[in-house]
Amino acid sequence: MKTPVTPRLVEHIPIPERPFWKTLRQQKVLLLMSVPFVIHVIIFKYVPIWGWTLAFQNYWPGKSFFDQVWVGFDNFKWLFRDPIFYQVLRNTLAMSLIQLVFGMVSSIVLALIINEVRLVFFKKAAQTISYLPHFISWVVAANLVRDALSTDGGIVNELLMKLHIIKEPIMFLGIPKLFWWIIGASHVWKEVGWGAIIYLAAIASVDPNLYEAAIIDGAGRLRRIWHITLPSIRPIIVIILIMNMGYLLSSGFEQQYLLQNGRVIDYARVFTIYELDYGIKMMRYSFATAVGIFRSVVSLVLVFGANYIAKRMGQERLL
Amino acid sequence: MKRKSLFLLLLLIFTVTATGALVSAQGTKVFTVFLSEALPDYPGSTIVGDIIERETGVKLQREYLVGDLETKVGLMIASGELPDLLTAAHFTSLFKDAGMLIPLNDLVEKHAPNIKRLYAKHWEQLKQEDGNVYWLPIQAIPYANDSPRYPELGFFINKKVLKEAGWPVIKTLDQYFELIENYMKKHPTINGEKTIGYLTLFDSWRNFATTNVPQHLMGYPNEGEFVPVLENGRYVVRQYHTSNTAKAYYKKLNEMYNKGVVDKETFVMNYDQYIEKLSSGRVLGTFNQYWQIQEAQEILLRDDPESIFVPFPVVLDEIVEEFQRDAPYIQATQGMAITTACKDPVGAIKFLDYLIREETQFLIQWGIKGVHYEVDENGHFYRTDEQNKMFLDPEWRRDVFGGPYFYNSFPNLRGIDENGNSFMPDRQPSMIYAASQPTEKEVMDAYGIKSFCELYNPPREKKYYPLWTITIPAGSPAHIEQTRMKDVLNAYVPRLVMSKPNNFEKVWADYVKAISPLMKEQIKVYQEQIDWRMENW
Amino acid sequence: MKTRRLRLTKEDLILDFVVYTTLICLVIVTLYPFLNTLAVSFNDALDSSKGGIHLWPRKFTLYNYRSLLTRNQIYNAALISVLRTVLSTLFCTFSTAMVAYTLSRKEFVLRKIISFIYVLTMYIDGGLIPTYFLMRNLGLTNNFWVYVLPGLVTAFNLIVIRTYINGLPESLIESARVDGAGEFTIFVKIVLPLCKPVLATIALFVAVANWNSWFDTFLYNSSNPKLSTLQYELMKVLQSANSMTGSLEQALAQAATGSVNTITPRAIRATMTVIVTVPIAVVYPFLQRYFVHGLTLGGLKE
Repeated sequence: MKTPVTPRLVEHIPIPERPFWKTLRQQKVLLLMSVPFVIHVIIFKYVPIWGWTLAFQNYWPGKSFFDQVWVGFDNFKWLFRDPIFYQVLRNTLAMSLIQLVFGMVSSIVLALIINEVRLVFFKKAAQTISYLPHFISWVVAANLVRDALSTDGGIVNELLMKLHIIKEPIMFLGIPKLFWWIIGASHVWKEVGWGAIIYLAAIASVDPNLYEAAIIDGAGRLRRIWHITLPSIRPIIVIILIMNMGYLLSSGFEQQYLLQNGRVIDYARVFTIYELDYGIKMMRYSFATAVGIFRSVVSLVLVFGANYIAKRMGQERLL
Repeated sequence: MKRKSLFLLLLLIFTVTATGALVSAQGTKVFTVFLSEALPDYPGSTIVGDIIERETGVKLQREYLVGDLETKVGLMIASGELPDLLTAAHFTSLFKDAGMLIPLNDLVEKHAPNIKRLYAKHWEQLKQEDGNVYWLPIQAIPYANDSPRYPELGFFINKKVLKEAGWPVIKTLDQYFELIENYMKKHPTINGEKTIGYLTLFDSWRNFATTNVPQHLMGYPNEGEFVPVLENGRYVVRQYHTSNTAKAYYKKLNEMYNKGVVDKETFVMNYDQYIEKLSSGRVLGTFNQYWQIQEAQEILLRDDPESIFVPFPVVLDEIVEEFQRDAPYIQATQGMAITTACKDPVGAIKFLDYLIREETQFLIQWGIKGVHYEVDENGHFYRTDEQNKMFLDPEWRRDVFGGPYFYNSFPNLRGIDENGNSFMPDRQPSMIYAASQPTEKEVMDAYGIKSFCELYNPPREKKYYPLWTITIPAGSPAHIEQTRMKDVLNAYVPRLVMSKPNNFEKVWADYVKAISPLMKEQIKVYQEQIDWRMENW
Repeated sequence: MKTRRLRLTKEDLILDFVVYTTLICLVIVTLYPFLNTLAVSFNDALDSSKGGIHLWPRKFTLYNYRSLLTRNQIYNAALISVLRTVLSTLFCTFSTAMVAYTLSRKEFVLRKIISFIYVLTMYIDGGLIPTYFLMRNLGLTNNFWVYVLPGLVTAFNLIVIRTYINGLPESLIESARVDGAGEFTIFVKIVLPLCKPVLATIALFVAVANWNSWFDTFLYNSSNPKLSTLQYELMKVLQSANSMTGSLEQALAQAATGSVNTITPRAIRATMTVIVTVPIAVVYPFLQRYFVHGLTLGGLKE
């Protein structure tokens, strides 16, 4: 059997009209394979959602549920009236978008590049080494970034000076406008290899017959990448993109926290830091919950929006 | 094959989980205790711990803090799952508010003569609004106070600078920076690298090393964010962040920054980089509390003894009299408490009573007489060089000797006892000079002192001292205001220092405008508490 | 492999040049942090605080490792960590793949609703305290299984596997069905083997997350030392060296007690990183062959 099978995108198999329950009974194996886990996820993920009621209280630990003071939407009002809130929103979105775009693009490119390496040893070594920084905590990594960007003998400044691009060392971490990009760049550096794994797995499953057919057609390597590899991994790219849209407000904490300083604070504060400083650290659980709910709602809007667009464009989608 | 290994795995889990229950030996009491300090687990047997266990028949099952205290405390209070005993730093009062602590007054009265005697001086400070005492502060100072080798805080200056200038006594900020500038001009590089004139630490919560300075330049010790000022016989809480002293201080830093004396990077470096620079020996000066530079000082003592830091009590103007040293105080707002979960409060208080008595305290701090310390003809304790060496290894001290497992979180005694012995060996008056390094002795000899604390005036006693031990209620408007104020300081102080000199006035005006509305609520809380302390302590 | 062409075109040469230079640069910048961490972990702790350690220790010592690896409990904790990692990886990967398979069946009537239920969980969270209450009511506090059970099927992994299965040739599954195979048989005999690359990836994700996790120990099992995990024990050591951090109030309280450490947070962090990463690096090649080499679909199809 040598017929090339194109990776299936969305394919509509007509479902015969049959009564719902009858179909369900026929699919009892599928039910058995999935429903126990659905019950599991409902217990572990949905039951604790009662905690969202905290957002409408002035929760104080140690008091019973009925003794709590109910405050309606006060916590949300406080959040939306807080002048810092909009700054936090802007910073979080900006940094998340930078990380999302550059993180994904660099990981995909890396996966494609690794796939082009023909020396098996080098291929494996490069892949293994590139994902190592993922295991280095931000506390350690942030120090390395700081050292590299230092004006006091940091390698980046030294290099730029040697190349006569700059005359005096630049205090990179002290420039507010640059902070987002430093976050983006250091994120790419640390996570590019780790992020590439999932695309490598997708590439690994591309049908070799497709490549052979393309070679016979006289397609060069670039064209093969463009016309075979990329389209084959497009579903996974789209899905990961959609899922990550929902994390646009959850980005960071450690990274921003550890690289920030008073000079750039207005550009460094993200939701997770804000939640900690103005929520948990003050035992304002209710406020922290309100922030969490806000983030969830925005996330869901973004995810379903992205999913809808994907659907309209005929791409793989989440639901 | 695969199935077999899975089976083995399950078996293993079963055995591991089944042996989880703790079995106590007959006759010993077991108390569970949560400690808000981070320490590795108790090794099970130590020199000190075994003696305590034998004499009291009490075994402690300890849980030390891992992760953040806020979360741990929140969970404990919310779930009501409590140990028998606990410490929770500045969150201790939350347990009381939740009705989870038992009052100690009667217990102490009936079963704890030592606690009663040794805490007598502090007892009134410990009473809460309802007149009950719920916790025993970690430190009690029953007799006179003692001093460490280094004062709590100061403007530190490199020994090289002092030596070259002929051991001057530094009093004012101008003198301090003049010395540094002169030395810098003569020695633009040290060990082949650029000399750093002055460093100021500004890494997240540690930025108080920069922002707390104005109060010290006014001559005050570390009060915190506000200073109670004696006006017409009453301590009135005042802010200093927009004071003239603060302005003069930031202006000086600004001038020095633009001259290149203050390190360019000082506001973007983190604590690790700060210690790195300090320990390189090319930093001439820095302000800080001593514990923040201790690591660097230890490295310098070992690797570059001529570059150690010497503290001075620097003020803005010569007419200001400095009282920067801490007056003896206890942290009355936190301590060790017995919870409502404790089935044997009498046994618990008896155990704490045993821990706090002098004999036990000397055992915990000094060890066993003749083995870990000697006594001279005046009855003063001392350690031989060999004994000292033993205690210099912190791992031995912690894991073999075991003392640290009984003092950082458990109630203990500070100061000097009636025979003139300090409860802490490294504060033993006769040992401070004797146990100093040659390079430290050289400085001390040059200034004719036996401890660096002697460069300072003795502290002034204040009944309420210090303001910073007042806990602002969690989540209250004052608490939110405090966080906002710190945010403003965090954003504006770097601008103040790094702006062009002709722009300083404008930035200062912006800063004053931003920070001024963020102090009212805090002052109200602090004032209330100060008044209460003055009345009740 | 199949048709090794001897003549390289110009395009090949340029592409090779780009590929190899990029990768060599990448290897240098990504290898450095690890080598640096390795060097710091073998360097005298106080000396490391002076900075300037790059690729080689300045004052060699094994003291950092000794002080971390001689803590009591550490081997028991490592055992627990291995157990939870192995079990979670096995259970999660298998069950996630199974649910993913059902969701890839276009005719499955509950497909949409189940997908929806899972997708939502990625973006909603009840919070720490309600989750704690749940675990307690389920008897999962002070219980080993709290490491394995709650994260059995996670939405992200589920969707990734589902997407992958969706990309498999439908004809394979159809032909098996024609042969009379049941759904479970198709899943185990046909889908699972085809999914090796993605399963290896998910297994890696799950394993690493479990191996690195310490927060669940902190939340649910902190009062039972027998159930402590390696990361949690290492966190303990780190935090005790780090005792000056956290908050000003804590730090001042600690400063008053005058405790001094010879082993610094920086040294411990480096040593921890090495201790924790080495096992992953050892196991990694076994998974790597699935997604770097790739297995030829064609071979399986015949």
